[in-house]
Amino acid sequence: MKKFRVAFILMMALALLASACGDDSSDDDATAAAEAAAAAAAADAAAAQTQADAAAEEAAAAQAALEAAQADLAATEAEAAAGDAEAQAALEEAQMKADEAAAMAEEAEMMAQEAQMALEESMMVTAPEIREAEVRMGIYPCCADLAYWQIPIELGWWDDVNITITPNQPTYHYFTASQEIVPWLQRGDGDVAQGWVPGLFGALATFGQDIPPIHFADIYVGYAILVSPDSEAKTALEFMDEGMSFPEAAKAAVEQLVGKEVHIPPHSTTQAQYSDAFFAYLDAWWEDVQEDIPALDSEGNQLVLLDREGNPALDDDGNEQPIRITTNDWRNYATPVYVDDPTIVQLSAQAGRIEFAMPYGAPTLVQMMRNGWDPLINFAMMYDNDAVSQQTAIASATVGGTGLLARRAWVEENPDLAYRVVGMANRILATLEDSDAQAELWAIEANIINEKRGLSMEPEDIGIIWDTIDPSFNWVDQEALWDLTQPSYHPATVFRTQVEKLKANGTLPATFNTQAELEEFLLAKDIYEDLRDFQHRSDALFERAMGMDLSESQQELVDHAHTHYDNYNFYDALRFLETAVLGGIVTPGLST
Amino acid sequence: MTSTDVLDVRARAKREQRKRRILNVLYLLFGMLLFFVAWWLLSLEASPFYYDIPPPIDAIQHFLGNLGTSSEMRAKFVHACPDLHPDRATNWLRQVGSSLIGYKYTNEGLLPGDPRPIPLGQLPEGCYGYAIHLVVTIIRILIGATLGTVLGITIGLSSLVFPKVAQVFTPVASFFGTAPIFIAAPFFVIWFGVEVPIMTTMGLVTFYTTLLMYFFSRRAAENISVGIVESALTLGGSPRSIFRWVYLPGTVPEIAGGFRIALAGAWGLGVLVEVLGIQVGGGHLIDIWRFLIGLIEAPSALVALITFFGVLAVVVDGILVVIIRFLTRWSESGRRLGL
Repeated sequence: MKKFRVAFILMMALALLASACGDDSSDDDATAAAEAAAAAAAADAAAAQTQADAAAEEAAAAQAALEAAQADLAATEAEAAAGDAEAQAALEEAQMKADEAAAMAEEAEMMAQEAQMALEESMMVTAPEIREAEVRMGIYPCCADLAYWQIPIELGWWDDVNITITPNQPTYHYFTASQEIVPWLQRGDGDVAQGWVPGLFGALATFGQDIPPIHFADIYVGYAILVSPDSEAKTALEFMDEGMSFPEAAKAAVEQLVGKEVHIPPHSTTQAQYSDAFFAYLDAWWEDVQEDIPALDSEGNQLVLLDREGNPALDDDGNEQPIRITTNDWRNYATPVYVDDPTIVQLSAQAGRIEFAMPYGAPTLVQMMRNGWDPLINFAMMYDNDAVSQQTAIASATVGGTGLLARRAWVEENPDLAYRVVGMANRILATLEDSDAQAELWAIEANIINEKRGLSMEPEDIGIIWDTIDPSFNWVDQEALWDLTQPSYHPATVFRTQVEKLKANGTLPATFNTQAELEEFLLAKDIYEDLRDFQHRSDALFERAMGMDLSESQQELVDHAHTHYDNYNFYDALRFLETAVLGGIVTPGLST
Repeated sequence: MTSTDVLDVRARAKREQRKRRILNVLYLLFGMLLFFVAWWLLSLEASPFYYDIPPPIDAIQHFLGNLGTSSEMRAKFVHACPDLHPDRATNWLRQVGSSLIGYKYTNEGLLPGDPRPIPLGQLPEGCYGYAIHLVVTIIRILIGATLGTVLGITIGLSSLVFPKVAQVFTPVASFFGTAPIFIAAPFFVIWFGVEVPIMTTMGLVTFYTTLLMYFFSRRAAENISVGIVESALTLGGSPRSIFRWVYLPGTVPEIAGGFRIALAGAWGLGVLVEVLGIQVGGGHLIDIWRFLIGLIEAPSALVALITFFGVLAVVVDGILVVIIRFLTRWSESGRRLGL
């Protein structure tokens, strides 16, 4: 029966090899060859098992013969003791047989031991290598969603994946201004850097595709117009306290801005005009509409207002309400004064110097609010009080977030490193949500922001930013990010509207193919899907390993795989698991 | 002087002079050619600066294409006409005046019922071009440098007549003179804000030039030979007449040299202050473009604007050399200036 099983496994291996040779696809070839190799290894193990079983059987038979001979010997000895000469001769003969049986048993035992060693050798597996590599990475530690990369440096997490950060070894290249990020990657001075993803849309027709995002970290919803403590202007909430509904209060609040100067960083010129959402509360906004921008989903369907349950919100006549994004611009109603965040903070420190400001970075926002500045209106108010409205729809269409920007050539040459770096991002974001560990991580972030930006953030401020201003997308959230059927922030949809707006204002050519270009640009989706596939395969192999009698070395690899899996490094988890359970790596692309 | 050119000396000297001038022009052209070749080489794809430095032709095209009006700046609502009075919309000279001072900072427009400034969306196309920004910067810097020069020379030379002025002013000037001037720039922005550039930009340039010219004028006076002053005294000169006829003309060559140095620094300083947040001017354009450096157009814009100020400084300095040489042609240093 066992020989039949061995023959069957060998036939399967040959069949797999034959199928591998007959397939044109190189990936399929690699899979088939790897599976055949795994099957051959399994066949070797089965053959060794058969030999060990046979040797054990022989040893058992020899042991039984030995025991029978010893029993005869004992009986003969008894008779000999009674003085029987014949019995004495028989005793000698029995003694000889017993000695022979003992020798045979010993020999069989040795053979059994050798067979067992051969079996163990055949089941011995060695850990796949996690290659030592250098990754040239940069960060601009201005804000919580950019400074979080300081955490793995200080906690030594990069060592877990054998990555050394360069070129400022052992830490990152620290940018002194956000505008340095893209040229740094573009020049090829660095491989990866955390940056503002929508900031690249204006370059999509030229080099933007060379620096796609490979991971999305968060969504920035902290947009607010701040009003100085000495201003007489009232906030929307104050108007609500006077009995107004939120739309009325928002309108009254924004009307105070018409014709006034609003201090805002020059970064805003490269971004979707989130401030439009506030000014859309003005009646004049809708009276001045000159052109509507298509607000479509990835299948080209018109986006409509949705209620909190995700169902279309109907107007008084029972009709769906299409979302209206227009070419209007808030700067037709108020005057932008372009100064960067540090200057806004400096000017805001002097009473009467400025009245309204829209700072860019969350830490600046938090610090100014701590200094007595109030939000005249912000996105949070709108989401809380006016979720189903054109204004909030405009807000949702203009938000963006940071992500890992990487040189596409680097990702193509080093997919293993890209998977590990993205896995590290997921590990950090998950740990930031762990109530037992987050205090230490917040302190690390606050320290680096204070050091590099001259602010005075408390660790708790970082927690507030992550909770209310910069909600992150952890590993679980990433699924909804890319699955358009789930209610969530969908970059593919939101970015489409933002790109259309750039086409409308001439930044991108009118012939720009928004859908195709965005699909190519959002490399983060492909990376996420690969990692999710690795995770699912790992889950299946963990289950399979549970039902197996694993050798010591196999068990060790499975334990390693668990560690990588828990750290969101699904790439190496799967590599270790396949080596442990299948005897080798079988998934294409995992062999590095 | 005889009218006969003995041994053809004068003709030979003129020939030499012509030859030298032609060679000067050739060397100048050769230097410019070298500059453009180096620039072009750095912009090649093989260069490590390929993405940062555009080819010269791209920068020039960008500059000329955005000089009158700029669609890029229009899309970003970056303009040179804050608070433009409706009456000034068609007169570019008055537009520049508006840009320099700001409508709301003049007496007009502050009363209720006065016409409101033109909304951003209706500004003339020219407001979005580089030209007004650059003209405004040039005017601010020249005014600042002139004011500073007048102040510095006045204080410096008067300190010779009234030593108490020197006793009061020298410690102050020494204190601020040793502090890096770039450190003072952000303070001017904070003190005067970004809304009143006439104070911020011109104030800093004036301050810096005053300090420099104070030291240059004092040193120029101190460098006048004691023998000349003693001769004047021997001839019956009073302190006032010696100041008027010895110190004043005698210090001009050295003060003029100092003014060239001060003006050369003022270009950079004026643009730097504008980069820190002033809303109109060449520095503001640089500030906006440096935040857009990820866009393909940004390196061309930045290089074009920076090169413009470099060329401007060289051209203005060349004009100054001609003027100073004419004014100081009586002195050896004046005759040799620019040779």
